[in-house]
Amino acid sequence: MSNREPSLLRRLYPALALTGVGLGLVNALDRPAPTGAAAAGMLDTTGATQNSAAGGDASVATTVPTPNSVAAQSQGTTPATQAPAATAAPAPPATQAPAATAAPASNDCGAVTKTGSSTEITWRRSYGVVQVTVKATSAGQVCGATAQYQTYDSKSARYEDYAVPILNKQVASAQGANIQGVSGATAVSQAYQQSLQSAIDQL
Amino acid sequence: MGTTASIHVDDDVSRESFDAAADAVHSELDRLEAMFSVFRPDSEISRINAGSLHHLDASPEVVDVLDACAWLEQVSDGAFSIRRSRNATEINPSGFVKGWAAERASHALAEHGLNHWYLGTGGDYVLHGGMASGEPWRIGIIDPRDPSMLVGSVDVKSGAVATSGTAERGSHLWDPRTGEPATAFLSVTVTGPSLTWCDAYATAVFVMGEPGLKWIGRFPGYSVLPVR
Repeated sequence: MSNREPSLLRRLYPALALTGVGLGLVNALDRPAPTGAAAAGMLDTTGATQNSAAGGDASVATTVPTPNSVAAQSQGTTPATQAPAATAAPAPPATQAPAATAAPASNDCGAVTKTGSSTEITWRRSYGVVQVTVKATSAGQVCGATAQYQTYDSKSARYEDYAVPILNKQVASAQGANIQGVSGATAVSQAYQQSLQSAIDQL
Repeated sequence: MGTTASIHVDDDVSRESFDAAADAVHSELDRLEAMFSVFRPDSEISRINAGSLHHLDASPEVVDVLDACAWLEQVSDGAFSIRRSRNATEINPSGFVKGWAAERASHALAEHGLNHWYLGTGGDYVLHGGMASGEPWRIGIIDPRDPSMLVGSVDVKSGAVATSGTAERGSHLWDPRTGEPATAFLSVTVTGPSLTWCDAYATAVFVMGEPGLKWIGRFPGYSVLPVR
């Protein structure tokens, strides 16, 4: 987008850091447990042991062609927590978490809502869509997001539940506060970010 | 291929100028997609696979890409290949074309007089000029073990960032030499001057595993961050 102000994506991360509100999540079934400390700089290697469970998870949910709605959660949710999604049934919506610790500029979170474009999730082929709705205060500060996603590829029974990125408060404030983009995301989180960006662009 | 590009510009330009530059980028990406997509039966790659087009009769861009991939296969001892295995005849250069096409299309931004921009597609970035304030662009690298976390970030004024790994849960990058999935790393991020080569080297290093970290050292200007 053409702008003199910082890019909107750059604005998103500090806004989330300030409000401390994470983005909605339904854990993937084969999500590896967090291992060691994160790597430091380039050419360094991490000490983390490789998690060989990335794939081939037997506890796969059945194909669910209906949309699932995921409510925003607070950043208090730890990454290792498995949401109730890890069952054969479709994931129930996560409950709305209480407001974040850092007070937003105004209290009317949800005074403004914008829905982003329905974004295809593609990796070699399309296997679903995700659509993100952001909530903002009347001052335009992003304070929450919900995501709806839908799978329509009956061949990929594995992909009924998706990991949608949570921006953990520590990460957002320590590392994400001035990030213009991210590399290495899954196809789902990329689609999520794209839909999220298109929602924020409307604010 | 198959992903959309996002363009971010920090120059002080009109909306019309930005739109013109962005349109040029997307037109070029569309044009290249039509030539290379294996999902389109009328693309040159599909026709080469079908036997109705000889690769030497293909468009110059296709010939260039196939030549580059042949070189890469040779210099990586087969870790990078556009064929699924040594004896396969069907080619799929999508992995190479992803970074190559983005870099090629990004030239339109400079041609439209823009000096501070980055183009992102599927987690790969071409970056130019840093921010107008003088700060570099900063790209976070997602932790493949936990997509809510970053393993770090890189500051780039002009250059590229690419990460190879599983973009789809449960899928694998295959080692064309063995037919087995590559499992040494969870992800490999490469930075350097050219997205085409960041992307290609990231894929090759991912397949090679530990020896790849030494292998990439022969290419000046490229740095690597593996996550195990």
